[in-house]
Amino acid sequence: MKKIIELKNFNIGFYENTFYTISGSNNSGKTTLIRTLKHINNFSQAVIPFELRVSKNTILEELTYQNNDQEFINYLLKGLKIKSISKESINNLSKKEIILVQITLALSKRPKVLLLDSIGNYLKYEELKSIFKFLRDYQSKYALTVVTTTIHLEESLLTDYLYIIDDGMIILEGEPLEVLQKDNIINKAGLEVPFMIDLSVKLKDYDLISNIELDQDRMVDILWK
Amino acid sequence: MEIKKNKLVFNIKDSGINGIITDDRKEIINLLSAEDKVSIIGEDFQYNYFDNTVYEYMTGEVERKNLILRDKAKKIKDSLRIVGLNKIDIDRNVTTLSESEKKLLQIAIALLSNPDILVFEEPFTKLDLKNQKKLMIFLGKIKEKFNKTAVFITNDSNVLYKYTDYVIIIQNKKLIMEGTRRVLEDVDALIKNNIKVPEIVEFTYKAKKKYNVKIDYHNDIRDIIKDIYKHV
Repeated sequence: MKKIIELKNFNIGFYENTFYTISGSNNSGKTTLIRTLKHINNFSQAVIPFELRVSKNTILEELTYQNNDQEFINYLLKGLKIKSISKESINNLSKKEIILVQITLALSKRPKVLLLDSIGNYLKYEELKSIFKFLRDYQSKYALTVVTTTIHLEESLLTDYLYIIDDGMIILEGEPLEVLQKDNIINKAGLEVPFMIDLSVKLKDYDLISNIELDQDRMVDILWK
Repeated sequence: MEIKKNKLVFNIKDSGINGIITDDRKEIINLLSAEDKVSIIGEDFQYNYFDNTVYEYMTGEVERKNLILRDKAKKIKDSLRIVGLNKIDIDRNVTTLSESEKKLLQIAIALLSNPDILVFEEPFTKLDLKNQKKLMIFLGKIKEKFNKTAVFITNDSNVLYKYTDYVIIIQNKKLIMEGTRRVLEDVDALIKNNIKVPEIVEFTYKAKKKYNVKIDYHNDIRDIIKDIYKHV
């Protein structure tokens, strides 16, 4: 029988109040890992897009049912910008709104760990950035470790630490900007290095620049000023 | 193929890969699906509660789409073989398929009605680089062997600049730009129409505009590096 997924000799740790990315190609074991983490830690909540069970008619009723601290619920609704749809039924929402509601519901349970499974696949990059910005604000008020998975490595630049898994094993880990410079290993794992890092690494190889530059205007100035 | 509705007229080129950027994806998909010999491959894979295996899913889709097939079992197996899903995969539970395998299954279903044009809604959002390349090789093969045309509907200009030959931009029910992928090098027009400029184009544009550097637009980073090396 064909082996679908296997996580091998897995040793992975997450510090308190830290923002992690786990990246890997399709079928590398990201969702399996998220489901595993959800089950081994009682204090975690997982957001797996569109896997959602609700018992109340509206989003606000469901949130109040989970947590009756109105001030906290208002903070979540405002921070995730879903106040205007809070009286809607979950059935009337767009994909983006469902994901925002899933995150709100997960946070309403005051978890210590929030697991996000490839939510960037359903959002524009700017929308994801706005969610991550709110989660940073949340982290500054309440202790929360965030673990997000993705195939889009540029998302890791918004986080503190990056794990890259391939064939069920961790092949790279560290601060995102450091890890993303290992272009050969990343490409071999079937992933794409973000454009400005790819450009920087290759220009460094030709001794045309000395540091990684993420800003296009500054890169142009460094090369031609 | 000319697509026409009211004042909106655009062309799908039957050679190569077409890309469409639009602010009204639903409307464009409706327009295309009304044409003969067009199959739509949606962004998301839709599970069906009653279909467990890949084969059951495909027979279920044949019924749901009211497809009339002679020798259904053979057609299904042939279609799976064309996309590269093999004998073992036929009995696999669809919930165990990876994102790339789900995309292949969607294509296998689309091919059952023998379309001339395959329209992909956001084809790459869930595919890693390796599987993006595999999909492009596959589309090249079915173009060559079976004369199929592909259309990508996405607002990701990076993807379109990298993979397509012909680009169509539609905003407010009007055709804004149409032509080879080089239309995505018209940065001023893209900005004016609030369309994201491909990153590799934006960098070249900035170098040209700010320092009058004589580098060309390329869709491969290795070519741009060579050009920078010559002109720095």
